[in-house]
Amino acid sequence: MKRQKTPGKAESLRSAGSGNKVIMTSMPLASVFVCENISLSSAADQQFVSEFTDEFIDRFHHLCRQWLKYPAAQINPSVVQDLYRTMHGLKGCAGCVGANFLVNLCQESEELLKHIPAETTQRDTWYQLLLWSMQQSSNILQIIKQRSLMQQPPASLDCHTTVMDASYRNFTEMVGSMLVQLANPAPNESAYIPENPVEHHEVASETHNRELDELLRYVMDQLSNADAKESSEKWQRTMSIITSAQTVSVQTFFESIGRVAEELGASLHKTIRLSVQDTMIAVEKNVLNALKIPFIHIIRNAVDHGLETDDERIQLKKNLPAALTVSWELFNGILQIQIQDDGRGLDQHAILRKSAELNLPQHSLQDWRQLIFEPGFSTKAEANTLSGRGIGLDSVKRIVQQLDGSIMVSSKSGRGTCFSIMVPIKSAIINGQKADQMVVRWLDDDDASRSMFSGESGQHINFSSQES
Amino acid sequence: MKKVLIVDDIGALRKHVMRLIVELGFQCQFSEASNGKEGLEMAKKGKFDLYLLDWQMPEMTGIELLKALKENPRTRDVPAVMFTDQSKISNVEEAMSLGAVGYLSKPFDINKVDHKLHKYLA
Repeated sequence: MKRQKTPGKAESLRSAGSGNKVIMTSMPLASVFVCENISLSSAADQQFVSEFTDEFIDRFHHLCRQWLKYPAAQINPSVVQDLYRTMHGLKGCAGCVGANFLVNLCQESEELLKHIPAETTQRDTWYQLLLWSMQQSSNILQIIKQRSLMQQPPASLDCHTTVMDASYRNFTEMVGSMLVQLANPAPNESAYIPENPVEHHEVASETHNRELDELLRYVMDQLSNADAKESSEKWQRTMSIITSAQTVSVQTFFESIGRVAEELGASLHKTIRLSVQDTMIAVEKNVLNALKIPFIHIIRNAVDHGLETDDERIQLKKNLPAALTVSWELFNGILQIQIQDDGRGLDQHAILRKSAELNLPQHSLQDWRQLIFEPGFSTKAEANTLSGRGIGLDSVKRIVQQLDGSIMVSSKSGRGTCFSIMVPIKSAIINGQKADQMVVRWLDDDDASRSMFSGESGQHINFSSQES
Repeated sequence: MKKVLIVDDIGALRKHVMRLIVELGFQCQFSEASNGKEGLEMAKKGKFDLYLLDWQMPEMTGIELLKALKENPRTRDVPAVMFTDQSKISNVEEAMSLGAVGYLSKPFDINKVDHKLHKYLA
């Protein structure tokens, strides 16, 4: 992708505001990470951060709902006003803690709100953009909140927020460009036809959000051809790009596929309580959709083979209902999802025996768990004798690896099994998750042998170091 | 004990300001209102030593509120300090001409808060 220079945002806005004739000659491109230091100088500030993030997260939540009540064509002016005030208020608060990128986002949103045209064929785009800005602001707040909670009060430490995608920057640049365009629709005849999205980004650090770029180009083109006869196909395309650029909530995703577990459990005389972590993370739809099959697989396996029947559990004096827990966290661009059951766990001896029978490559004792991901293992294993982790785990692993991710398993006999999938995420959005709720994470293959059941059951361990 | 009325639509910000004032050692009793209209009602009913008013608020903006306060004999002699954004320093002139005694720009600097409020809270 070609990199072009973008005009200064502020300059664009000023020009747009004064009605100067400015022709957009270049496209805003996704920038790299947005990093910001938020300085918490005292306990009072920290409290302030936690209070204002909560307050605005609530407000955006409410506003998004209000926003969605109305179709794009009839945005309620009072909602627009509300949003304007919220953006303005947030700008002040964000300024108080030095979260400048959030200040900028709010500023741009304000500008956009001020300029919503009464009559435009692009109303849907404005509508989506503003909705998006609300979601993004809310998500940034989640990040700030989480980072601030991770600090030890009342230490005076910098809390470092890294936003993993250029979406925000993109947004602000896009707003600026739209305003410029609005001021002067450029007479551009050659319509830009977006190429098909490439499957993968070559380099992760080059966080070009391809779809966003496409969207930007396309919207710009539409705007510049304001007089041209509107093609519904073009608009459908635009909207579909916008939609696909959006992210999806991990919680919603799991709640929908997790129902399988309880239904399946019931048919097997296993009462299962599925708990899905309720912190909000939204990630790229594509990644999550690609992981759908692996997750269904793991959940089914857990229900089918990992968990005991109710009667067995009563005999073993284990808790009823059986617990199946899905949790996740996002850290430095890696989404880690854990699916954990409190069933019988993997049987090391059975697995090693089986692998010897199958003449699988010898593994050291430490990573015997990796054996269950061997292709040969999965097809021949008799699931039940091996605590049933055999079926299709090789294909699960393959899918995860295709996403440049990794999968690990940990278990303790009689205590349960935990699958941990980690995938890099380009566009990521987190919610504050209290440090004391963070469960064990596996950092790399070497750490896979570290059992999460090493301590007392339910013990929580905080983040350890990064991958070495 | 000085009585302070804080009018700001953002609860977190009201609390933030209160904490700053307390941190500075002033002994105050705070009342809070979350919009201009509510602020005006409270100002009319209560007796205060200082008004702290935000600019952007629903129902009635800070400047409208300031005007109303200055028009009412009951409230006009109470010193009013406005909160402003740095980008809106130009508005300060308007506020001062309407009778505000000062302004505090966001982000709040504890020294400035001390400097500007000391006279009214000590």
